[in-house]
Amino acid sequence: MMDGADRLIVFSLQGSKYALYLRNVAEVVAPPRIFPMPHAPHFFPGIINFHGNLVSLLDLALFLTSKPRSPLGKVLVLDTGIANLALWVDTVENVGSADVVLEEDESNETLVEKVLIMADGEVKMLSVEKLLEQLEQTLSGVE
Amino acid sequence: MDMSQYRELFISESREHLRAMNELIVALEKEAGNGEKIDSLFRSAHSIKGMAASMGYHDIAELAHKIEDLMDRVRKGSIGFESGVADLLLAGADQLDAMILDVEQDRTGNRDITVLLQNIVEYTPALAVAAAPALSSDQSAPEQPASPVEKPGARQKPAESRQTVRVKTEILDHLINTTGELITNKHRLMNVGKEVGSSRLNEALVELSRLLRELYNEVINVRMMPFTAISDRFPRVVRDLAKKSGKEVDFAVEGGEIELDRGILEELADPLIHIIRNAVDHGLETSSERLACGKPAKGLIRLSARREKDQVIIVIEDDGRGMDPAKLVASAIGKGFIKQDKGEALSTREALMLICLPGFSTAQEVTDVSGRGVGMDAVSSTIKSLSGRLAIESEPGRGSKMILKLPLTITIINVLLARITPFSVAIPVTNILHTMELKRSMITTMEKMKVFFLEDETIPLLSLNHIFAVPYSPASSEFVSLFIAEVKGRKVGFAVDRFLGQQEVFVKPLGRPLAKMRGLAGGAILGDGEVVYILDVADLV
Repeated sequence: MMDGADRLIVFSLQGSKYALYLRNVAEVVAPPRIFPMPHAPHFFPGIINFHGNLVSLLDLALFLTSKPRSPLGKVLVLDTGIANLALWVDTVENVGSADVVLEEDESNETLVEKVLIMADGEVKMLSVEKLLEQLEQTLSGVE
Repeated sequence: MDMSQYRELFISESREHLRAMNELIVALEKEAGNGEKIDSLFRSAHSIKGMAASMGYHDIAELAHKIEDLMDRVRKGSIGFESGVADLLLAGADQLDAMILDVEQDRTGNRDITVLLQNIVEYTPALAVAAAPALSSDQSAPEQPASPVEKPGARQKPAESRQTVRVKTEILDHLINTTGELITNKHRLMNVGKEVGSSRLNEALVELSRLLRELYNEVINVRMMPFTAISDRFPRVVRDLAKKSGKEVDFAVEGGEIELDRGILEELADPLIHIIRNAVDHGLETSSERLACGKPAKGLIRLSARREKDQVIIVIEDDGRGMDPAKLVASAIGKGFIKQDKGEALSTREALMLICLPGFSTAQEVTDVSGRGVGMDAVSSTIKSLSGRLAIESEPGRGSKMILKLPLTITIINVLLARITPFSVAIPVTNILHTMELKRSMITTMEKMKVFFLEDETIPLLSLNHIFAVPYSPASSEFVSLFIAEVKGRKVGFAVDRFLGQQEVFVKPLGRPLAKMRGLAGGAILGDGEVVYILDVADLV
């Protein structure tokens, strides 16, 4: 069960809503200058300079659904204590507390920890750790 | 009183005392009469006892107390410091170490040390005659001279502790990060200053530059630690190994005072221990074997560290049986690591590097000390990850030499910047053997590979444009810019679009998940805010 004190940040990607724990997100920024990387899979457009840290930018739409993201969009930079990763998403909806969660459901999508039923619909809670693991696996296999 | 805030301090100070104790015990085995070392050892045990008692860790205090008592008997001359004493003290030190780890992991009170305590309390010297002469001759030996500190004042070290402070490594890392960013921001300001064109602003910026440079040098120095920080535990490792394998070993360290970046030191400890283990376990012969071939009974292992410009060179050499390149090649072919014809074409240097292949081990049986075939592979990749190089020299019957070349720091390294449009990359200078501009006409094709000739060597030429799957820049000039690096023991040339110059960069880790990408050793942010990738050349091929 979610702790009422847990705060969530909800964003949308290709019509679906997703959420992350607010404490895992350092900042939300407009897409900054991107430095492309040699050998990177297509869902990594490159690296950004985040306050002196090198943070890889993941095109989440391309990674999850293989469909391109809407132009512009917003970038959620994860807490650098967890990872050097930023997620490029369509829009950031809001920041809310877990109080507004009506129900929780299991999910069979690997990267989704659970599905939250909120007043205005379903929100998929992303697992940052699983996302990192999957990315790392993909990268070690890529030539 | 709540002692928990002092727990961390207790743990780190006790560990320091234990390290000193290990060093002293091994040293005393060779010079049992050294009064100063005996006193030091007594004091270390005493300190641990005091700290543990005040923290309420009574089992640790009790063990330390018994050790202290044993050392007191040595101090007073009622027993000599012989190998039985050393064994007990080492066992005691190991147990203390384990108990301190228990404290750190919050699971105290589970150890039964009654047998150990009993052994220490009831220790009586062996009745062997050998003990007695050592005792009497050492008792009459004079106190060790040449200590710069006066004997009475040497009891405690309050003067030194007033001049030094203990700092958490996270704070140091944070300091260096912030300093690096200050410098990057200074570059930004300078760029703006050029546009604004104010001489007062520019003067202030020049002064700022100078101050930042000073700050940066100081912070870098703070991260430097002497080589002894890791090498002081090696004599104990060698001693234990020698005993286990029944060999006699003379182990010496030179250049312990050389300073290296603490980040590099931390990474080096395991690889060096592994190389030393290999030397004792596989390199050195038994005393009888050695005498049979005219060598002194004691095997020699020498570890030395020295600085050369912006590199540290660490050499581990032994006078043991050495390695036969032909045997290594035969073994590699037999195990399917390389094909027959490739194997025969290898140079001596390349053949010796075969031991770094994952899974390679010519040891007939896997001893529990080394020989499982993971060791040299891990050593080689750790050195690479530090942007260093490993070279191996060996002569069958004479011995082997492992030479490690490492940059002074991992936080700031000298790189050669190159452009492979659209990327800018940085290659650590320590990885580069030569750079050159080669006439296109000098490139020929051999066995479907592009090669060129340098002196009397044929060097394969790879293109980074090709490796990165980006288009070649138009062949406008008659020259190709390339650098030569060593990959798996061979020289390989890498062509780039053009070189952008050489400079120092402040290395930034790629973190999760990009650290898993092959071929990249990190990144750096240049003064104008551009991100460059630091290549791990060997990993690209």
